[in-house]
Amino acid sequence: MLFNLEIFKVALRSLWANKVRSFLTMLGIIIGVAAVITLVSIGAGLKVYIADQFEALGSNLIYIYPGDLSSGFGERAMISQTRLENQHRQAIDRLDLPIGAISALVQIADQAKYKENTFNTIVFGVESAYSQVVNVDLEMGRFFTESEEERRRRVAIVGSRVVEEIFSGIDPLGKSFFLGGSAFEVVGILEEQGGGAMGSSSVDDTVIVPLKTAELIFAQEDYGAIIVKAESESDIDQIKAAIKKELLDYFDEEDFSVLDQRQILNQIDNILGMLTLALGGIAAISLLVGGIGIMNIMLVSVTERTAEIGLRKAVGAQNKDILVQFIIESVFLSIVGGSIGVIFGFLGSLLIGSFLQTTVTPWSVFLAFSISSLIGVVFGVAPARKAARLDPIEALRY
Amino acid sequence: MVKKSKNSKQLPIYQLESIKRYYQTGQSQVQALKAINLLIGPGEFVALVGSSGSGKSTLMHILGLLDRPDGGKMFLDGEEVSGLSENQRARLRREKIGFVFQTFHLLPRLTALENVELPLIYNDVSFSDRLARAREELALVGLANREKHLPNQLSGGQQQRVAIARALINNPSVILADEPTGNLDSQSGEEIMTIFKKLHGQGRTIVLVTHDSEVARSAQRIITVKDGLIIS
Repeated sequence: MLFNLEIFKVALRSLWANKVRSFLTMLGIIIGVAAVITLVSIGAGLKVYIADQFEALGSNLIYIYPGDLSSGFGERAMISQTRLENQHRQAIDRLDLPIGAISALVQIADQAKYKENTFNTIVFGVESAYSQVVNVDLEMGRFFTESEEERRRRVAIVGSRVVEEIFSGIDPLGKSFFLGGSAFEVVGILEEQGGGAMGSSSVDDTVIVPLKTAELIFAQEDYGAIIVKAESESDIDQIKAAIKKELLDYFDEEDFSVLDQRQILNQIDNILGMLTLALGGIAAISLLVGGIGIMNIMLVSVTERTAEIGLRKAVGAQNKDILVQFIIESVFLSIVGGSIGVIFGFLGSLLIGSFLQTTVTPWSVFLAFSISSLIGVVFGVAPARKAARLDPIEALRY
Repeated sequence: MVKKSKNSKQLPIYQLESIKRYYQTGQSQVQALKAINLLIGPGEFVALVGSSGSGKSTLMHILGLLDRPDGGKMFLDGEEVSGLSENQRARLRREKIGFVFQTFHLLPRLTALENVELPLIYNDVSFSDRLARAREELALVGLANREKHLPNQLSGGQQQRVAIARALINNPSVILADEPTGNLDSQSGEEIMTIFKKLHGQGRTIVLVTHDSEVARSAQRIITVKDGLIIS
């Protein structure tokens, strides 16, 4: 019989007799499993966070970007020389489409300054209709008006973090601060969104100014994107097709992208999925190292117990009895280590969850646990075979 | 279990026919056993004597089914055993042979009682049966009050008595004792020899390996091995 309760007890007793060593051996697996679960939970949490932020913007949005983004936000998109400009914005306007609202958008990284306080912010130059395209939730004040945009007024709606960093404690409404060397008046404050995982920018870090003001102050005339809100979801495909067709008069097919929210989200999901896999993969290396640790200790243990193995064989243990005894030891170490690792993985993700959004995914728990169990078998086999094959005569001389 | 049938009374415990064992050391071949013919009947108390390097240890290993001969035939309880697989030999060791070693070979983390019952865990004997039989054997060697002691809490003589109890637990056909008094003071050694004589008196077959002629005298029959041959 392959599994004998007595042999199981024998294996556990010898692990118990070397408690400290057994625990240290398990530690490799514990850390490995916990690391896989925690890191994957960060990646998965980031995904959920971004999806939430995206959905908070509103629905039925269509984005026109310069460059080809259909194959992901990769190299080709980055090196695109295409310029999305006012003529394209107007061309879309001329089409008779069921569009609710439309806004071009320029994006500039700049420093906001109030008195001695500075903050590196992202400036969004948008049209006054922007607040009808996406949901702009204001904490206080108002969005800028069409006439303010037309007159290129230097007015700004600031994110909550910007307020915190440069206006600390002062009511910023009506105050002036510097952006791109010009004074801007704060007319509105954005509601705090939270998040901003791992240094990524959040709405809280941004400043929104009129598009025409931004073009003037920052001398930037090409758009980062044009955002269109369809009147209803059923119109999205029609609008996308019409815009694409129109823009082909200006660009080659690979020089611009017309994407809806779902497509963008899918691509972000893909990228984060890869990131999550990479994180999990790095953590899995520590699992492997943990497995090698088990093998190492088991080999030492076999050598130490040579006389015991010889005696067991002399009193009638078959090779498989010895094999099973040592495999049980290594499997037990890895399964118990894996279980403790799962607990620590949950704790770790809970802990990190207090400042980043984390989501423990069942597949990462399952995968980490089954890999660690597998490691116990795989890395336990070599030492166990060594033990089982010992010549009893040689072993008894020890 | 060994069946003490009428048939097995007639059969020899060991029957060795021209048993050979060689070792290869570098270029040269050492003939540890040249052609051993040996018959040991049931109930015999035999001492295998010989100097170091005589081949008596090799012979002992072959008798104990720990080693295989390179030539010849060996019968144990009438069964040809020289061609058996490793697993079959393990089973026979468990069922028919009780070992007693010079260095006792008790497992240090197991109590006296657990050491005695050790062979039974490879035999699918139930826990309560094991316990009862181990208690009985331990009592027979006079250690009923030492059941929970660990080997390092026992004297050398007591440890060897635990080892003898372990050798007896499966009611073997033969007890193979390899220098059982070699690590003991003379008084403990005598106690151990007294136990062997008692076991012999109960009809047990005992093969004792020793280089000590004093110890060998306790046996009924002395077999001297020299240069891989039985010389008397």
